[in-house]
Amino acid sequence: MSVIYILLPVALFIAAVAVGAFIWAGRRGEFDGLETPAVRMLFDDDPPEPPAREPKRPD
Amino acid sequence: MSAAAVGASQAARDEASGHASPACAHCGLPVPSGLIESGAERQFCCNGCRSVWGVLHSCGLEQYYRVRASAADSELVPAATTGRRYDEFDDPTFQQLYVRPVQGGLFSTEFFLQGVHCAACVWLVEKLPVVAAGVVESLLDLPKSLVRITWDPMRIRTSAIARTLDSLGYPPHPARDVRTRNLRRVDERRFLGRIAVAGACTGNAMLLALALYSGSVSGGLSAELQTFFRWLSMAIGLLALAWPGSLFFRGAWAALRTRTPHLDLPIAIGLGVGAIAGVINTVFSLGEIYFDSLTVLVFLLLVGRWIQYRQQRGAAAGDRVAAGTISLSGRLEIITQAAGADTRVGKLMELVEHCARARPPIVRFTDRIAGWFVVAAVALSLVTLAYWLQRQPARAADNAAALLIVTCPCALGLATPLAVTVAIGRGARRRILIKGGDALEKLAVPGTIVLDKTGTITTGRTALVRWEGPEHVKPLVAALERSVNHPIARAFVDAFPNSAGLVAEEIEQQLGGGVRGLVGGHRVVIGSPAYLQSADVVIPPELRASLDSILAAGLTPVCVAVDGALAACAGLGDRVREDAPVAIARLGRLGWKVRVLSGDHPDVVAAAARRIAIPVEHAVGGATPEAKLAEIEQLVRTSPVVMVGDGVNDAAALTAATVGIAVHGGAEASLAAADVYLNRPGLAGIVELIHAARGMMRMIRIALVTSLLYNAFAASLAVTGLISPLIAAILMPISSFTVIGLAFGQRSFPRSPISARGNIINGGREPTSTPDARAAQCP
Repeated sequence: MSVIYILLPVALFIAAVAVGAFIWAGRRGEFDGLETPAVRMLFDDDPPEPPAREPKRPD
Repeated sequence: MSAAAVGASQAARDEASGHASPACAHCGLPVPSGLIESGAERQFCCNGCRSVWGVLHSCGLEQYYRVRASAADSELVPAATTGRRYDEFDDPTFQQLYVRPVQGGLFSTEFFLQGVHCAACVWLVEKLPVVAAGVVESLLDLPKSLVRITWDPMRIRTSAIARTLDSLGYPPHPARDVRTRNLRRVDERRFLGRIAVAGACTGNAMLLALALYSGSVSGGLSAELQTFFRWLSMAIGLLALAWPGSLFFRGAWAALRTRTPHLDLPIAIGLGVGAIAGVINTVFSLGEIYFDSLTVLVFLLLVGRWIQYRQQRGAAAGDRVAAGTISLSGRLEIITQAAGADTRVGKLMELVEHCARARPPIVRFTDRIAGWFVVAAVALSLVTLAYWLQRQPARAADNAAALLIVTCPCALGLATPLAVTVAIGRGARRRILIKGGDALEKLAVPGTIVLDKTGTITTGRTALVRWEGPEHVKPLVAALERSVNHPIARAFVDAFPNSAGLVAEEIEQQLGGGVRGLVGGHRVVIGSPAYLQSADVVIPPELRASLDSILAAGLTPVCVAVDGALAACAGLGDRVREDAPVAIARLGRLGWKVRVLSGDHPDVVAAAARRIAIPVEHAVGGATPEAKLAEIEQLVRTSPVVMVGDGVNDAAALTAATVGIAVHGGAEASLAAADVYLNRPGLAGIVELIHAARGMMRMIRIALVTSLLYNAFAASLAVTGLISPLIAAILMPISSFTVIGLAFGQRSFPRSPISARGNIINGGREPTSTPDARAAQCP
């Protein structure tokens, strides 16, 4: 059980790294707008250039 | 429903009623009959749609239509382009104010965009680099309608970017207060960081506490392990207090220094006492440690403040009001355009933001009480400490700490401002923009409502009010007027949708007079009495009486002659809204007295007043702006006065009134003067507003009483030593959540948002294919 004297500080260190990563991401603006990225995932990647065709009506 | 499905069902209904209305190739809404180009391959409802369609196709962005069809929240709105040149964006002063250089030799700026309303807009705006060569990146923040654009100044000018955005249907405006917003952004990020640290500390402290508790339950933890865990807990706890928790200590210190009691004070004292007790117990291996409770407290309090902050910011900046609403409908951080308008609009917006931040009387009241409460709580805890030190010293610190932790002026400090903010936010979703909570507070007490006539009681549009004539003439009128583009013609077409498949030929229009043509073999003449006389139509005496009564009712007379003989007389005017009598009756039941004060002709005002059951002495017409102001000032002396107006001549009266409400379509001056802006036509919004004000105030009172009872109960428990600080730390958030839940559960505005096209007749739901709705859809 004495391994816990090493384990706990290591675990806390890892937690500190995680929090540091969060703060770093926050500083770079990742959490500024939380609503728009949810909408962006709806977009498909651009399909390959189609040949010139009749404009598509909404259907 | 997808855009095309709605368009298709529209077309189907149109087919059924006897005429086909093609759909706009861009927005899918029906094209008004007057704008159909015969023989054109595709039709557009307006120039905006036409130009955006053109841009999309020339840049290969037709995928926009697929994206829009799949976006669940997209609404059919015609495109809004202005065709401005935006040359002032290249001006050095503008560049200095709004554009900043970023690495790589690029420039960056933020624009507020009109017309942003759905996911497809995000897609389109972020495709700007495809449309405008030289733009490197375009990122849109959907709820704020703010786009951040980065571009290469060597390849494209700022004005060209603006023109491109405009041509896509999103007229841009420079974003105000970039510096303030940037500072606020940095603050927000830092706050989020604090929450992260507090959360991490909390989780770990709780794990360690769990280990310590299980150890004591299951038969003992070895002394070394116990000591190890306790010292680790202390380290984590002190870290949480020193970094994220320092907010409370600094606030408490500021409160002490300025001698203004503040909610941070009891929190800081509680945290401090718990920390000191915990440290002493750890270092000297004495009793309990409280670092798990302390960290949880810090974490949850910070989260609570974060939520409250975002609520307030959201409410002030306007929730994402759906579809096609323009900047004025809720984004209070708006535009300053070039030089001249700059001062005026800038001041207007400052005024509005100032009012939004100004605290309503009820909040100031509860703040003051909170101050006294804090002092009382601290005093009581000292008394408790002194008392228990004499009786059972071991429990003294516990009880004093428990008292400080459990007493919570939550209704005062949290729930009241939150209730106001929630009410304002919900109001914005119902398209009622309230500048400050004090307006809501004042509206809860009944007084006198003074209405302007046009646009509030009446529809503000020419419509058919009276028809004196046989049924069989109606299709003839409809067929002839269908091809005329005039408000009076539209009024007839709206009133008589069925033209029985008849088509008018040999149409002759005379501006200001009337129209004549051949319909189904009959010669039909429609116009003013003078026009008919010039067409040699004689007015028989029995119809002369109808004509006179139409004139007496203050309506515009229009006569219809078939084959040379007068067949019918119509009275056109401003129709009173269908919901107006009901709304006014409801206002009366709520205790409000209703008056009319209008600049329109007295006869017309009297006629309208009769139709809504307002005694004629309370309906004044022909009022000048000065007269309106005088009347309001007179009324204000006896009771609260709510003035509802939409014209420029209402601005002074709006300011003089207790609460000024500017209505849909109002002039800018009245928008600035008003406390509330109703972005919905008609009176239903006013009734809703008053209901909401009462609901909000009732909920605030309930929350105050609840909080009072809770505090009395909990404080007595703590003082008598019946609860430990741990139980206190559980009770307090429960009471806070309860009171916050009450604030959210207020029965003020209905929750459902109103779209831009919802109208009062269907209670704000999507309009059906009524002539009113069709006419209203395309500008």
